[in-house]
Amino acid sequence: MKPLLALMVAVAVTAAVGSEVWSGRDVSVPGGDAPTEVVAAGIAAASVADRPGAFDTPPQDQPPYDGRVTFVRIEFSGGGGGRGFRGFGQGPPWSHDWPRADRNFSSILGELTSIDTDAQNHIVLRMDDPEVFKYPLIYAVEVGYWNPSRAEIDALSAYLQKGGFLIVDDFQGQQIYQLQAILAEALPGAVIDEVPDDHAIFDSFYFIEDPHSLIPPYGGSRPLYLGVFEDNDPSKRLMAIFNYNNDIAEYWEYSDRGFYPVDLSNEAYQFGVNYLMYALTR
Amino acid sequence: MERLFEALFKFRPLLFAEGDLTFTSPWPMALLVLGAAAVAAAAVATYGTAGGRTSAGDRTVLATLRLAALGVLTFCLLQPTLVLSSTVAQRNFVGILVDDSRSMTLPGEDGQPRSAFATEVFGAESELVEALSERFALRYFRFAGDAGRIPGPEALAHDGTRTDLASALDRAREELSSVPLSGLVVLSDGADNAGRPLAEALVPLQAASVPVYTVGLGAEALDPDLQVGPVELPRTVLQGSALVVDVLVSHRGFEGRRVPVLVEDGVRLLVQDTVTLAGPDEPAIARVRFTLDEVGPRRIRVRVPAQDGEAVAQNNARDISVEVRENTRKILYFEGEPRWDVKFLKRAVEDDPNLQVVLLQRTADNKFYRRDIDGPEELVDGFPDTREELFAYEGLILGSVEASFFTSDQLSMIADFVSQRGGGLLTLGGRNALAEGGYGGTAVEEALPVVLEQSAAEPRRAYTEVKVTPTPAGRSHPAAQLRTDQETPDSLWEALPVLSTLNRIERVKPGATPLLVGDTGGDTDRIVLAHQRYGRGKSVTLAVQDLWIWQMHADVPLEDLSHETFVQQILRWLVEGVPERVELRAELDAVEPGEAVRIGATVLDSTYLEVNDASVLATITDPTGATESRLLDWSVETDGLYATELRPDQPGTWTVDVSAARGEEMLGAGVLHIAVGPSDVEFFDAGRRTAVLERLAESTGGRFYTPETVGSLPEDLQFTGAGVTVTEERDLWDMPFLFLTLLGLLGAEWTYRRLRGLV
Repeated sequence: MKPLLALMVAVAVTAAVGSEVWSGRDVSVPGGDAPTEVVAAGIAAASVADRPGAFDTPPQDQPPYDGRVTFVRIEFSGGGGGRGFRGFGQGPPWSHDWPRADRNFSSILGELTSIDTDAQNHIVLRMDDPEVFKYPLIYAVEVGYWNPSRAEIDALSAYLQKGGFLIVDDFQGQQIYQLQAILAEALPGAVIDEVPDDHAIFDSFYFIEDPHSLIPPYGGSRPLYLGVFEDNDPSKRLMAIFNYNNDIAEYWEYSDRGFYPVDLSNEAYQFGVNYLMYALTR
Repeated sequence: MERLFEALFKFRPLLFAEGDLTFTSPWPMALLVLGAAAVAAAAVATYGTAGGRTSAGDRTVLATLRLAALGVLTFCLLQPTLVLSSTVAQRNFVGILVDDSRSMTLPGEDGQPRSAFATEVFGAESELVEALSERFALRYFRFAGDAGRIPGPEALAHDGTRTDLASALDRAREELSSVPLSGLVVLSDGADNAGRPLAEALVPLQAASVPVYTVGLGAEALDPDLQVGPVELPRTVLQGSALVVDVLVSHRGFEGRRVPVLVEDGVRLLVQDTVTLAGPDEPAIARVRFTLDEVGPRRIRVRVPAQDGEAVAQNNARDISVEVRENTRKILYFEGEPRWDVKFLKRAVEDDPNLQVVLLQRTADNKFYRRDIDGPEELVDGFPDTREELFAYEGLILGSVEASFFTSDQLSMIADFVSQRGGGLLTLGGRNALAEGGYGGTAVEEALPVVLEQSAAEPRRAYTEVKVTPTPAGRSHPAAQLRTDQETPDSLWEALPVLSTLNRIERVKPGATPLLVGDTGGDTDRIVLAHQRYGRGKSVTLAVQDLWIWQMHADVPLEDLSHETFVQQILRWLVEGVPERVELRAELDAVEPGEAVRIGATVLDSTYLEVNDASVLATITDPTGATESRLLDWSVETDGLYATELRPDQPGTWTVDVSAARGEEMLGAGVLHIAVGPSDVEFFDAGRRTAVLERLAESTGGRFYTPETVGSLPEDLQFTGAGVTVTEERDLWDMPFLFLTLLGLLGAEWTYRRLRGLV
């Protein structure tokens, strides 16, 4: 761990200790027929064919806004010039695991929860597109390559303060500095804090006893769940969560290919479902 | 006109109305008619056979005139007679009821106090009373808020704080029920402000055939004068609630004047507005809005400062009692699917200490998420399936959840939650809401304020964008506001982004009120927000699926609070006035020292059914802090109602704390505040209520008088037919009208002949 990050997390963890982060009035009812094994459904969802050449062209046939809960991935410039990043042959950084991960996750949501969605209900938007405000949850990856414009910063600032929720996934190492810089501009004074293991977001649908048990698909450093709390108060709303040193969408993308162990894919979906459920209620 | 009638027909119209017409000729009627017919036939024959210069037309005219004259003569020979029931002198009683309220101190049309007429004209030495006394035994009563016997009008003080005409009539009728009663005479301006329907007193009077003669005092309209109309405020409000009040200012003689309208809480000015007065028949309306922040019993005064030369200044201010509460109202929000409105609705009220929105959200089949519950057992089995559990909430929000989720009992229970428990139901739009949720034909549909149209087969295809605007009713309705400090300006509504709906709602039910409509760009607007009373409670439908767009949309500035305010306003209004298990009510919220006020406590059990076997203890605290406890008695006439009468003797705020128990079970408690002090109620609508007095007289067979016409009262009373009477016959054959008619007919015949050269 980089010394700076280590210091930051240490401070955050210290600040979180003893704080009232888990309201005694908030209870998730674990009973009933709640699904616990999600990959089986995920595999079924993946029967939808991939779109060939999807990374090379901006998405054209996205479903219009219709009031439903829609998974929105943020597209951004950067990462080797324009849309040209081709790391691992996967297209520009914003598009890692897209569209399969988004499709599989949306399908899982529709299958396992009461959310009105399906495999096609996912879109890609730029942060400075006003349409993004019609979707109070956004998902971004590889943010270390994101050099947002002023308009994107302003939009992100308003978006989060109005009640939008940001999930950042698939970033590691020094990318944290870029995320920190973005947030410093979008939410001046906001502190990136570690999200405690017993936070409501880990019990909003599935009870995730040990969030750290989900190892990153590509190994490496221990994953951390960081976030930004409203007014830097851990008892208040979590405005954004960052899967630092982790990539849950990688599991989503390949959940129908047997590429990763089923239980890990299961856990990755559980994180995604929990994040969304939390965002839908807080 | 009446004098002319009397000059022509000998008697006043009333005698003809009271009497019967008969003929008293000593000769047989048939003989007289036959004789008249023979004479008529002879006359016709004579005219018919006349020759000379007369034409057929002349003969017809002359014969008709002659026949008419013969007819009048025959009528006189029949000796028409008016048969009247005349009261027997000194055998009957008349009750004279004199208004003893403060409004009688106001000037009459002659500039003298209204009470002066009663003293002078109905005083012991007056001609009228002498005339009445010759024939009747007189009994005087005074009446104001109560009624009682007095020796005469000289004993009146005219300090009654209100007027209860119905009770006064009851009292006089009952007291004189054992004697022959020829009628009751009421001297009043007709201002009745006790709230008791006058019809209640009319029926027994009609049954007993007691006519009421009313004498209207004072002018019908005070001029110049200005009056603040009744102001309606909820009896209880939550602390910080924004209130909108329409203040109606009526006047005479101040056309075109701009006057201030002030709303005060004690010495604190809450808001001030101005209003321009139009014509005398066009009351001006000032719409004022203010927030009540101080907890406890508040006495809110709405007033317009007295204007120069006003006839009455006391009717320029209205005082209203409002109980500002800081307790938390609990609302259950049941959402059938995770969607964004849950988050934003909760966020909008999270800082409101008076609202606790308990969330029960179905996140998957048979899986629920609970939030802001009071304990681990609350809603542990999902949506309540007992009345006790559901009725513990004051409000219920139904989101996008299909009707088939509920059992039939639960659907009925939701309807009962509104109609019996008096809770507030808010139904939101969504793919599984309203018609699309299958609510047509269910008990819940009956409670809805909107008409459910045919449901869309695929709700998502019914997606329609709506541009929301307020209706005229919604413009001032507290549940449809985006601002708390002022009426929402049109520009604010116009600036809000469009919302969307999946539910085709185009009509409200009869009796429901649309507050917001949505322009779809097509021919028909959609109903966005509507409400109606349903039984004890209220039902509201907000038929959009994404109200949260007003918070998140890119065009809505970050600092804009329209969404938060709208949600808070609608939820606060939803649970405002929701009854508790012990509800206290006084028949008057303000009384004068010494005035009696009846207090009622409605006691309900946990299922909100009335309890008749409760032990209800009231602790009454006067302004000095002294307390008195008493048990309230079940009223017997009304289930669950326990009552007592209080007669506060000191000015200030009196507090009545009531607790109810059944055996060991505590049913609930309530508190009521009564403001005791001088009242100006008598000075409102203080013009003479001629219509009320006329109706009272006409419906009992009596007559309405003004001070100018009251001179005929003794004679009119003589022929009421009520009491001990004898039959009296009055000849009519010598009525000047008959003589003049006969003269006219003969004169007309002569004139006709002269004009035609037949003489």
